[in-house]
Amino acid sequence: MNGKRLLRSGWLRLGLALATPALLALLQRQWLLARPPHLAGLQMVRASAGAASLQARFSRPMDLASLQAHSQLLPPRPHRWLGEGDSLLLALSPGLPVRQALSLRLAGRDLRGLELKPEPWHWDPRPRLLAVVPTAGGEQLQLREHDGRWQRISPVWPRIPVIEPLGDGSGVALVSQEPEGTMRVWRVPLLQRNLAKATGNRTPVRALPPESLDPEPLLFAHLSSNGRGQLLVQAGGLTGGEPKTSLWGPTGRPQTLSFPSSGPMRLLPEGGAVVVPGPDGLELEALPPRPPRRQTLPGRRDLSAFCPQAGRALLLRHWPDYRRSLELVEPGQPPRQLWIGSQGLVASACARGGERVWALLMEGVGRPQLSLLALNRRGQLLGRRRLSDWELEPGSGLHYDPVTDSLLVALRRLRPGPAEQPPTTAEAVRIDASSLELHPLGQQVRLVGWLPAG
Amino acid sequence: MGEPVAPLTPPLIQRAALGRAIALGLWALVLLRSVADGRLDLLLRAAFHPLVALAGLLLLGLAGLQLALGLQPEGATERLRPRQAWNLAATAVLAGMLLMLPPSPSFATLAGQRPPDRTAVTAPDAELSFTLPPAQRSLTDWVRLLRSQPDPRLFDGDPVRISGFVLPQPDAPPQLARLLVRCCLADAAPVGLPVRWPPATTPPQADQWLAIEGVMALEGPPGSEQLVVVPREVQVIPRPARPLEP
Repeated sequence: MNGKRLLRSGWLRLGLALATPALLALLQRQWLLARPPHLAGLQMVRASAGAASLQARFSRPMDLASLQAHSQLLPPRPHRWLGEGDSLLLALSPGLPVRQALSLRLAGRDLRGLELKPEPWHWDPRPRLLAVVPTAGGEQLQLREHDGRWQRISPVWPRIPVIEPLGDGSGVALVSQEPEGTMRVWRVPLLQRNLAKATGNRTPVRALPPESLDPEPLLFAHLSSNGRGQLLVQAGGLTGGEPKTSLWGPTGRPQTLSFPSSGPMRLLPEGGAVVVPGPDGLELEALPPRPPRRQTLPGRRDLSAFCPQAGRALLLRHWPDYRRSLELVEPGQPPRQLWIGSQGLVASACARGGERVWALLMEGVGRPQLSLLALNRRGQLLGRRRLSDWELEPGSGLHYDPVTDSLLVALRRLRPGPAEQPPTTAEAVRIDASSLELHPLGQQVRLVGWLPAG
Repeated sequence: MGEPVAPLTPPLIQRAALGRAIALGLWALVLLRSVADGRLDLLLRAAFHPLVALAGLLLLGLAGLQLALGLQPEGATERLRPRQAWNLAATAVLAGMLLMLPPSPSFATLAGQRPPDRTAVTAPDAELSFTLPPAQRSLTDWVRLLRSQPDPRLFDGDPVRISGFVLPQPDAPPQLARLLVRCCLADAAPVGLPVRWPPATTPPQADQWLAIEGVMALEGPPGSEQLVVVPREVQVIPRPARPLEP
């Protein structure tokens, strides 16, 4: 049989048709098998238990022990690689505050024993401080860089009564107020880069022009954001009627929500649901696209703070005899009372899943005394600091940052002498969450908050 | 040299173009059906589904062309050779089987073949939940809960452990009640739960403080049921030191 006849043979053609793709597939497989693993993606994620976390995606399932042994963090600090397969989590162990940016050298082997080409990364998980600063002509939103420089990131408005850093670090939402009392809601997009290849340029945070979220002047507005960068705006118009609630995503048009509430709603940091205060208790409502679901916690309670660990929160309970209690909520458990007293509980904060809880208390009339309590998850007192020279700037809250293990608060210095004197302007104060030592930052502020590193 | 012989048109069943039309058409239907019934969701990212649909339409177009060719007398001269017929029949049977007995991939099968993601930041069981076991609900908790979630069937059979004072009702059995304070004592208002008092005992006296253990039960005609406390144990108790519940 000559070659031409052979080619004409149907069997040979069928064989060739089958063998060619099989051979190609085999070659591709061998080529892929011989390729070393590479990093397919690296991003910062919200740390639930530790100080900060990175999610790494590799092209191949990696050997966890090898990554743990060969990857390096500088300055050295305890960390763990978690997970299995090609998607792994690098979690900084809690307890040691991050005081400077970290250098990460990713190295290790995959499960076949092939080496990952070492990659140096620059990682700064520390949040920046945001503050509403009184200036000539009104108030302005400013941001404090890690080196202590303050940067103006908004125009000057007559007043800025509310700020809400977006949970993914992509910006800040704020409410501006005109002298006649009308309000408007704005979003200030921010560009920040805190995780980059070590060879890349490191640029400071850049603010884009503010975007108006509602063209109509408002009577009031409450804001809440979550780790997905969603923003909940609860606003009442000047013309009366029911307040309007909108949920803004990072992009696109807002969704209108219709949950009747008796106060400010709060988005869960992990997303997917919102806490709605009602006349008979707190409601937990699922957000679209989840199917509607409501859980009720009866009683006179307010949501005081969320804990960094998902599913944990602190509630403030009001008792008929004017006492207040602080409760820790954990998944599947009834609220657990951590503290009860007749003092005013003006703010609280929480570390990890409630392992440490801080409560800012106020007692007395005329010249109320401020004190800060540190409690453990069983309600036992870990520490107390009397802030006798200070009073809390109303509405400023107590903000905990697990990365630097710091609390942030806006406090006013008390003037010696009679209580009737006009109050001083508040200043931003960082409090060491372990020693409860105060570190005034020397900046006059009205409101403060942490901008998560995005 | 003789006259050229016109090729003979084979019968329909032996026309190669029609055989190809059937095989291609069946595979086109397999692809289009897999797009339409959602089975592709488990096999391919949604972004690639239009490509599969396009491939199905392309095959359908080719099948249409072959069909047109096979039905035209001048284009239908190609006769199916036995080996070609077997190949086409085999692929057509395979496609037909896929249409008649479609594979049913399941998420469970898929999940069983993939390593679990242990890095998920938020495990589903780590979401905030508001839980207050029924036996830990106070009387005012029950009243608030029923106002917030007024479907009584949700609570049928729940255990109850409450205390309160006896509040007489006009034209109805007395209720177990508490004073509910929303803001301050000045706005205290009585709230109560209906109780199915044990028939053999004397009715409770007004203002008497009682602790009741029992269950919630539905009472009334279907569609307008009401929850009522069915006591298992009723105990007279002294007036609590803090009679107002939060």
